[in-house]
Amino acid sequence: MSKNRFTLVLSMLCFFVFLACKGPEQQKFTLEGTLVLVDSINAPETDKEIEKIIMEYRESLEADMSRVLVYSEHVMERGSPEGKLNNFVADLVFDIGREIYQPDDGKSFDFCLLNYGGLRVPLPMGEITNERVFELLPFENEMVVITLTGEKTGELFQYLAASERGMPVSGIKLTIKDKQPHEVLIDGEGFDINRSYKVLTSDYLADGGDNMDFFLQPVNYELLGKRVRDAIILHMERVNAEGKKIHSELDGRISIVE
Amino acid sequence: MTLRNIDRRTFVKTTLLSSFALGTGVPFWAVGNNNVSHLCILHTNDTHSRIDPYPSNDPNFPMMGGYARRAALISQVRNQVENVLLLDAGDIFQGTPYYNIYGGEPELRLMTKMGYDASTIGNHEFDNGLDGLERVLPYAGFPFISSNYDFSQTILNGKIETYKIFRKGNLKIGIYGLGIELEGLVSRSLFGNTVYHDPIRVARRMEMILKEDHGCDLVVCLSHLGFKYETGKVSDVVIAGKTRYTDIILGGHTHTLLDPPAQIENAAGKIVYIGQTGYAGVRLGRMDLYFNKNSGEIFVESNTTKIFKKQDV
Repeated sequence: MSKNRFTLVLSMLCFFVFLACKGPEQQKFTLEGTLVLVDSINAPETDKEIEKIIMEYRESLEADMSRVLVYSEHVMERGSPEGKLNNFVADLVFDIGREIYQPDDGKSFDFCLLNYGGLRVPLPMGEITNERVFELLPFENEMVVITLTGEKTGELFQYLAASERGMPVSGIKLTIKDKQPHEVLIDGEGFDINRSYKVLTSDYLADGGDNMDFFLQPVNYELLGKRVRDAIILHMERVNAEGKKIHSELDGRISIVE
Repeated sequence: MTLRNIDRRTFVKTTLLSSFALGTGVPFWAVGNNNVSHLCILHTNDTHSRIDPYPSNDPNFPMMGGYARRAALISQVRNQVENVLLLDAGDIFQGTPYYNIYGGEPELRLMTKMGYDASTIGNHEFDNGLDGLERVLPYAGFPFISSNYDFSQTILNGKIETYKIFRKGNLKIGIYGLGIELEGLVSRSLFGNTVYHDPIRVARRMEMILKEDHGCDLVVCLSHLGFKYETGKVSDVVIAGKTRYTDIILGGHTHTLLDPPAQIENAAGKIVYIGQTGYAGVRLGRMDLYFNKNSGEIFVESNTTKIFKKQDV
């Protein structure tokens, strides 16, 4: 205690010496800050004038957005190194991509890579509305197939292994050891640096988004003319038309080994 | 530093009892004292077009947020405190279909109605390109402040403020804005000829202008750099440590919850307060500042939780 007091006196002394040299004293204030939850406890009423302006926009939106596309068996959240939401989105984009991609050389893409940051909200259990899918993927990103050299594909796996965040992938199995790719399987076969690979992704990532520099200056760049979000909506409507619900499992497609 | 904080808090506890007796949330020494100025800063960040509250089946924030309830909270504060500064740290856009359909028009109209004083520019403000931002800018009845994005070679030339000075009561408050590096984060086709300048250098220049040339009582940085990075990439914590006159940084981008605000020592050994409210407008940040124009004494703080019940999710 006395030591603290001594330190206090000493620091005050230094402070006044500092002030004397400094000239006019700086403005002083005290501050207390907090975060206030915006909910019905802290604000029992909403602002009616604000509500009125929102209504001008909401009505036309609602008709379209409140449409239920499908039902989900469980909550899907993104995760690292893999997540149910990661797997769900990557698998269905892979499937829809396989349907619409008409390659000149007759060879379809090898695997699909999207980004963790692009999955903006979890999917709830039960009703999945059009609105929720817009929130999940608000960006107007298009599907694109990128042809990469073996070397650049190797960089892609380095990127995945080093990433703190689980990137949504489909068509590969990756084990990571000490932040390096340990075992890489593409469509069940080992990675071969001497051949090229085709990767289905979004134009955002293909343009180097999320620092995916390996996509820049590719061997080939083919836009599929379909938004990632539209692919998801199409898939959900199909599942629903079959009278089924959507679900997703973790299958260890990306895992960390000791 | 920690010890001093604890001492101060014990002191606060004893004095708060008497201030509570007044039932106003205003400390006893501030009542009827013309030399004390009370400023309340309300702030948001990364509201991401969350105009309506989250739906009731949302796993994280059921029925929380929404502009109409935020507006009611703001009005509540305005009814209690004379000097309110309402600020946003960027990423107003993108996240719900409102943005996909209306391009940011309702967000800016509603924020104007709520009386926002200023905002800075987040990376998602570029999502519809410079054209998209320019088109909806007239709906904002408040300035966008960005000090390190140079828009002079773009259609936004002359439409964004480099810094701005606000007067609240007898206080002069200088605000500057910092935006994040766009390369690698936003498609080049969207940000066009916007030039990004080093935030540290710009921050030092801005605070000098605001403090020395304009004599501001308070210097606030609206930042969309992000709170802190493992990599040492420039962030609010870095800016705080490398500046001398910036008092408060209101941040965004990393969706960080800072409750209470972080305290970082600056280059002159003074405390810089950093605030960030998470995202989607689920929380409203509130900072209560008490100035003493005469003595420069350090006063006890107010208790903001008296006015609002604080909760955690």
